[in-house]
Amino acid sequence: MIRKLSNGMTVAVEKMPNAKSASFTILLQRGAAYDPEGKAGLTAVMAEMLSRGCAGKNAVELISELDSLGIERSFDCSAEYVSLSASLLPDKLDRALNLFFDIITKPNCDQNEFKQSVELSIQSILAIEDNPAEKLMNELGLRFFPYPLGRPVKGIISEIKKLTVRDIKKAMSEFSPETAILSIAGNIEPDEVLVSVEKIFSVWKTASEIRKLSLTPPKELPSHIEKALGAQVQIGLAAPFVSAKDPNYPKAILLLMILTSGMSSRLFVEVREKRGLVYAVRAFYSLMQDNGAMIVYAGTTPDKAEECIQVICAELERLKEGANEKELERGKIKYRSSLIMACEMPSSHAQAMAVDILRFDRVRSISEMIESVTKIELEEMNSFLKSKRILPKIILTLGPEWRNKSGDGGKKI
Amino acid sequence: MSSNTVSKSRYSSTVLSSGLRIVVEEIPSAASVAVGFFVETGSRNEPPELMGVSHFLEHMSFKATKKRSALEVNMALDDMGSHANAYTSWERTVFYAQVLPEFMSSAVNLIAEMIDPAFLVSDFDCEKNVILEEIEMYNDRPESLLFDEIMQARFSPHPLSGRILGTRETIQNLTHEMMKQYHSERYHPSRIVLAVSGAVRAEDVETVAEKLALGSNKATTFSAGNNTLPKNKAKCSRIREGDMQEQFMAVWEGPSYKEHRALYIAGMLGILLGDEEGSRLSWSLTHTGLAQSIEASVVAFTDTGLFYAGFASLPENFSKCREILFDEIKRIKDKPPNKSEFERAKTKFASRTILSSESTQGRMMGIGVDELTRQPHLNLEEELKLILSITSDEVNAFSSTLNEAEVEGSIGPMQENL
Repeated sequence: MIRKLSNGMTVAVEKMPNAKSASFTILLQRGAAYDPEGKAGLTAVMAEMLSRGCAGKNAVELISELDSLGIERSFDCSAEYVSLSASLLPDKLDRALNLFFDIITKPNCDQNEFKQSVELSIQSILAIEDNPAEKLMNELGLRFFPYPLGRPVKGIISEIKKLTVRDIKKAMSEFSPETAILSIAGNIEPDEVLVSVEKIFSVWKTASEIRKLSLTPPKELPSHIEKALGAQVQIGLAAPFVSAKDPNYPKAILLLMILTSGMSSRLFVEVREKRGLVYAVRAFYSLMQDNGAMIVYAGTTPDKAEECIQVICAELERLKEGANEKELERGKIKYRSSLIMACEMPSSHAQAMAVDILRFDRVRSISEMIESVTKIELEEMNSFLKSKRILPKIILTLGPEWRNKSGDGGKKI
Repeated sequence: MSSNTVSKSRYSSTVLSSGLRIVVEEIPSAASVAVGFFVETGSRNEPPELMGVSHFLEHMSFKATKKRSALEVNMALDDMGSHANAYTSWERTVFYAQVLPEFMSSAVNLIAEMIDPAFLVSDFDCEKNVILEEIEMYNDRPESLLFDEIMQARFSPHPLSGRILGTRETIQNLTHEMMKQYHSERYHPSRIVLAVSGAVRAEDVETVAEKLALGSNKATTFSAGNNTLPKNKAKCSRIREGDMQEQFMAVWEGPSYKEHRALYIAGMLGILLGDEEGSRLSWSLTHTGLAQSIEASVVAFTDTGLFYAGFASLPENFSKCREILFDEIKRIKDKPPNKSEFERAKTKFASRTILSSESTQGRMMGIGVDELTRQPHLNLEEELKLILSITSDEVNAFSSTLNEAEVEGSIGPMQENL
């Protein structure tokens, strides 16, 4: 069930009769990419402040109230949106929605809380240095996605240091019902829930449109980041891929299943099982606005880095030769079972509903999603694989120096 | 609390003549089935020269069996659309898959076949490289290395102090004959639990399990791991140049698997002290921006346990954070939680227990570990009742045992910080 409230907010509600709990997700389409030039990290600091007091309640009072209701929550941000998620027992839903409404619309923006949030945000940027895989993904995004979509979500330390609490207030005033999505799933009665959602959220009248981002091509940056003390070379590849609204999207999903889902998938077999080059190798879909990307990640020791990259590229290249009937079937069954299993949990279901509204302006049913992939026949899949080449635009390595056979140190393939 | 539209689960257990223990939780409302084989063997059962063999063996189980090649095993797992994986800990090795109900028997049969691998030399040699890469991957993750250091300091020279993954050296020196021998000594049905949870009937699981051929190994007594367990007091620091943060952890004696109720009491103290938000350490360390992360919890073994508390911070805040952490330990004894603070922790504990029960995999892991460690089985209602019955006196009594830390450990860029 999907509704637009009188104030323009999109709400989707779904009953899951076998669930014990309920979950909801709120997406506010004002993510890190909307941070003004020179204020990268504003959204990250703002997200950190969400649980630090609202509607006159200080942080202790707010957090104690959330805890006393047994609400499991997470406040997060990405380039596109700020997301607030909660899981709880259904009888607490009303009170939780009321609290979250206050969190979004009536922040205290206390000066002291702001200072502490800045400290924490700076530390979490520094902490990325101790997590090479995360660092790689940040740097890969920066080199691949149009700016500012690829700008690091956690921001830039020097710019965070210059923020003021007024910046936070301004950013939060840019949340608006027109650009907000609320999805609720679980053991609930949709009609009743919609009535209370309307009552709670329809008084929210802030007018703000989704600002159109002016996108510019990413800057050219080095293709190797030296971390001499690292044990492994982190490898990331990024290639343009079909977007969510492309009619070929279901085929792209199936392609991904064949390439990377499960232990008989091509990347796993060729890179790990046959050659023992890695422990971790995977590919995943990254969608941002109208940009689709395929990202491949692998981690390996320096002397194997070159072979590893070659094997990954060869597998991307080999896709054009098509898949066989068995691979196609495995891909379909894998997709079907992961969807069904994910839907046992209200939290993952609520999340998926919200993202669906963001990407497709509607909530797709499970059977529709399964059908869109299972109806793909081998011949049309293979003509898609032949025409839709996955050509990595960026190949980035991070870690100790590694050498390719032509003798260039850790720079070029 | 739960709605009456949700059908109740039903638990049953049985032991086959081979010694295989089977536990099943029927959850008629579930959409999937989770299947797990829990083998009572892990790093503490390894003599020093075999350090890492249990985990390597776990990897070998995804290789050729006596009937199929490695690729065929992997394809069979994917053909049923399973989410399959495995893990190895100090005391157990667990193989599991979540599947749609129609694949329950295929999943049970396949995993049973997998845990009796063919040990092909070519598979072994190739997988050795994967293990070495896994060791290096963790070498780039300081937060995952700290607990290894703590275990080593606490229990050395007992095998429980060893590394689950082994070291580069032990893995390189391991031969496939040594692994085969280890397998034949450890993988006996009497040391295996089959746990199944979800949309399934117990009698169907038993019918499938009765036909399994798991009996080829002889049951031998554990040679390693049962000798006296040392409990050292120690301080250990590992310097890693180039790291941005210093990680710290302090541990105290905690309950073992033999102390069922005490484990829940210690878990409650973990929430009060170290939950991400709303806990004592979060208010004083992360909320203030002094530390980047905090934690406090309990880890149990068959004959001992550890209660731990820790944080990660920038080096310049390290001593202050460490001081605050110990102050909070003292304060929770001097100023124990009042009624509302205590009730909040209890609500969180209960709420989390309900939420995690919604995944068939979560339930299967619970009943499998309970059976393997011979703890009483509780269904969700009973578990909630237990949590809600914990009193503040019980938690305070446990807090009062947290005197000087048994082991303190740190890892990061700092020199001599403890």
